[in-house]
Amino acid sequence: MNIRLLAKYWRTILIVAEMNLRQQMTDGFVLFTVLFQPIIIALLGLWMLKDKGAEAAMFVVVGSGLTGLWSSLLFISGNSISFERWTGTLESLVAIPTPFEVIVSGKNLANVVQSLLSMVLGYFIAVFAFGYSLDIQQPLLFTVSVFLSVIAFISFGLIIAPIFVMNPGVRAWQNAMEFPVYVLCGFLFPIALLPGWTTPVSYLLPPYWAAVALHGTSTGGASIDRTLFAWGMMLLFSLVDLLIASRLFRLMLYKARADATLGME
Amino acid sequence: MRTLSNNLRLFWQGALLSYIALFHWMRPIQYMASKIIMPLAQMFFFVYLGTYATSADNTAFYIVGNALQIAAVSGIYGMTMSVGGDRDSGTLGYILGTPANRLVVFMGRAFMNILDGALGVVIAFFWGVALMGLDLSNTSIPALALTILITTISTCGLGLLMGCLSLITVTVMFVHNFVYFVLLIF
Repeated sequence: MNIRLLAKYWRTILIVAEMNLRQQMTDGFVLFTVLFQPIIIALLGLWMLKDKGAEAAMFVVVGSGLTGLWSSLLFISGNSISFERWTGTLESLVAIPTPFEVIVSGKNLANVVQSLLSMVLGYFIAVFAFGYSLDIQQPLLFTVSVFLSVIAFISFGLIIAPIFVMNPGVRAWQNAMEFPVYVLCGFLFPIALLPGWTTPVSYLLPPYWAAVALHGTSTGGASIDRTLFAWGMMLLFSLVDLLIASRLFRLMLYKARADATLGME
Repeated sequence: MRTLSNNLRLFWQGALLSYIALFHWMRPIQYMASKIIMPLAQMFFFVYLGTYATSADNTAFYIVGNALQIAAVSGIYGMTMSVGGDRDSGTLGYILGTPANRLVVFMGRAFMNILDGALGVVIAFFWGVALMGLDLSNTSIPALALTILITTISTCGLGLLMGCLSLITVTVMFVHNFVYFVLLIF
């Protein structure tokens, strides 16, 4: 794969992301998922943890933002291929020379980036509505953590979308998959509160490592070793996810062509 | 007498058919996911958050609060979708165009959601007792049952109102999701 081709794919990803952002800014469900729901969760968390000080408030701000990231990934990125199918554009997208996974990556990028808005809004609510003075303790490490989290979430989303398309039975569980990840990934409370047998499950979820890195660098509560380990795990999971996703996309498109079901639900 | 029997038939058939359509009973797994697993996961989330924020002594408060809030799954989502879903699928015009009593039609839809919502709350209390150690030994069961019923009826009333609102807004999903989560706060 040469540099020119990669540059073309990158340009496609950015254009798809921009188109997606423009399209979704008027969608009530998207706005609710990436903005309103995390804000409501942030308000609840800030009220409940108000006696625990600024560090807990920062934990809630980051955690509520992560809930927005996961919900957006699950519901919006998860349905990104199905959405094209519903609107009748899937056939055209599959037929163009650009690989389909590049296009879905652009869609996922838009979803993940717009979900980060909820973290910013949560920050302003904590500062202006609750009067906290919040500082990110390790701003540089936090920025790197955000960047790696975006990559990890995009890669994870590339697995979810084809699975949902190929298995409508799995998509039926979409509603039931939202809160378990909030719990297992320690978005708003440490996973140490959970029964010990759930810990290995948490370790297998990329959002958990994103939570470890973002919470640790925003509150300064994690050592540099732990942050580096979380980054490494996010990179590892991103690579594994991309490998699995490329196979899943190939399988999905082969099945759709063989069964002649590309445009059918 | 004939009008009454027609209305009763309409009430029952409307109730049953809208309920079957709502949860796509061709795939009962969707019902399981929406009505059993999702409420349980939500309860776990808020109970753990609550005990982390305050103390383990307050677990019962968060279990009971969340269990009652489960009534809103049927009350808000079910009722809003009962009205807004017809608009989305293009059948609302036919319903409003028929000579059938509209109050009976929509009350029939609410009826099944009330029963289903109450069942959801009972399931949530069961999870609370079985998995989270909720102690109901000092509870007056008839009073609790009445509370569940009244909560479910009032939530369905709110859901019907939201369903009406969904007729003048573009996205039903925003309305019911927003109201459902706002109920968690207030």
